[in-house]
Amino acid sequence: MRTWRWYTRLIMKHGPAAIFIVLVIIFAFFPFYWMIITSFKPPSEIFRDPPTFIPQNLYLGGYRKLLVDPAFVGYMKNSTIVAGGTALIATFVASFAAYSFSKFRFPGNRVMSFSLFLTQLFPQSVILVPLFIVFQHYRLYDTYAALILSNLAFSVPVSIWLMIGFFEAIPQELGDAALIDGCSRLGVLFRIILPIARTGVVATAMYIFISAWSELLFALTFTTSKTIRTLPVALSMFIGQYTADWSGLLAAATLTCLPVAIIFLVLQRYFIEGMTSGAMKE
Amino acid sequence: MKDTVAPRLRVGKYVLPYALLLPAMVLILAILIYPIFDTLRLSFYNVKLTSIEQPFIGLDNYRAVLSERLLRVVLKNSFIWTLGSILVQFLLGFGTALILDRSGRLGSIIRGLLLVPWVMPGIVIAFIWRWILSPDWGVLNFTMTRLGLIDSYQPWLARPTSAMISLVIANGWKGFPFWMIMITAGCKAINQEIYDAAAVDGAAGWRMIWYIILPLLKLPLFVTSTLAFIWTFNYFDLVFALTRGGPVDATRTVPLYIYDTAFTAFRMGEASATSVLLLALMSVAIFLYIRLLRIQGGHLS
Repeated sequence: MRTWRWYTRLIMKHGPAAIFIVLVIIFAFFPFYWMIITSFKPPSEIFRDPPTFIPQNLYLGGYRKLLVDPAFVGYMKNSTIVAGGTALIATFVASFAAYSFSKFRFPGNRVMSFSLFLTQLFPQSVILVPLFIVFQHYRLYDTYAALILSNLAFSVPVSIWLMIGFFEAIPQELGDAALIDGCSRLGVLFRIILPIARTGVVATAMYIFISAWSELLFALTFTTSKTIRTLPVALSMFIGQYTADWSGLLAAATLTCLPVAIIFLVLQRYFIEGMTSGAMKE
Repeated sequence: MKDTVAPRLRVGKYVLPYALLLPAMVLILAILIYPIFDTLRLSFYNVKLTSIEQPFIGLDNYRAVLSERLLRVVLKNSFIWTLGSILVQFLLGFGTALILDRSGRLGSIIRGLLLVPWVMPGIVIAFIWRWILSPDWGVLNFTMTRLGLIDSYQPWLARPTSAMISLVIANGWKGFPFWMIMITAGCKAINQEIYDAAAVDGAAGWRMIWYIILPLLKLPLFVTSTLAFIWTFNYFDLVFALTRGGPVDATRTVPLYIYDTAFTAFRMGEASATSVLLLALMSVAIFLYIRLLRIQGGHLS
């Protein structure tokens, strides 16, 4: 039996707390509800006044139009490539670095690992102009490579930081025992650390996937052609032009947040762990 | 961080840790650290995309930026947007955290679900709120007229003040879960006995929150505010997608200003100078954050 804090019990008993929570839940979820039901409303119902809070007819036209639209399917593909590529490279590179930081003692260890966390506090807009110039110079502008590289700038430090947490939870003795048994130090990473920490590693990769999937500013700046454009950029272009096809727009928005929602709900525990420990420890 | 086993090879012990860091460090140096320094360099040049020639112009970019009337507007907008968002996020996050703290399994399920807005892409959030705030078919207009709060449908995003308020509410909605989680973590460190002792001394309700809970959560709250300040100040996606800085620059914040200076007006040198100024401003916040972490480490753990 969990003990309720007395003040929780107190205000719960008096009601305002319960009312507050219910209002917050409505405030937090009504917008999603409204997006999803609108995406299933036919145009005639969307522009009805008063609006219908429960859709009268189920309309799949918005989704059907998107899923047969080669352009939209292309944006989904581009987003998957960019987010997947970023997640793979970041996790791979970061696992080595996190192994180094968590299991070796060397000069600069603490300073460097903490500086990594601080990179999260740098404004994204600060590296925009120089990266733009560099990408143009090396003919990377408007390629997947430009998007993956720019996403890696912030993803690699975050991945290292998150994985240090997961690796440090593994007892040193396990690695030591393997070393005595003749395993190489690199072997310890692949045979002991990574298998044990696999859930944490997957959670890290997924976190990076989500942030690269949602990323707008780099994608907006470093691409121009439709064949490279990611979903967020495509959506931001839709939103700019005045359009009446709200069921299509909100269907596109729903499809964009679907992978994020699924990944998040599955790995929620690790997200919470990562964000609190990351911000609170030095 | 211990290395207890006698090293079989000195190489393994002294070179390997750095070798393992190498790929990550090369990437970070090339695409994060170098560009930051390059911004500093570019801020002293007249950067033209059309010609190779980029003359050194000293402080001219800074002079141009600082004499720009718009800069002051943009800074003011940024502070209103940041502080407004933080206020909404704090109130919602603090309230939900306190109420759901240790309220059993149901509490933690609700907490998990409430995190969803926080992970959603900014662009999706912009879409949702555009639709809710729509002047013609928006559910907000419908509800408010029905409740008798307004007489006629309002173009919320087309008026300076209401556009900023809309942005702040949308971002408060997106960001409050972060506060909730951080405050929950802070509450975990508070001993139940303190509440009991305070209760015995007659503290209750608001007095309990004001005199006992808030002082005990002071450091986690400062840390969270600093982080939220830095992130919100630099947050581009939501503002860009919801209002594009309009109407007439009323919601133009610093990141949008940098983006437009560089990629709409193509004044890259001035954009770099603005970036450097932004970085300087952020450094103050980052310094404060490190100080707070130090203090927190000393007191709590």
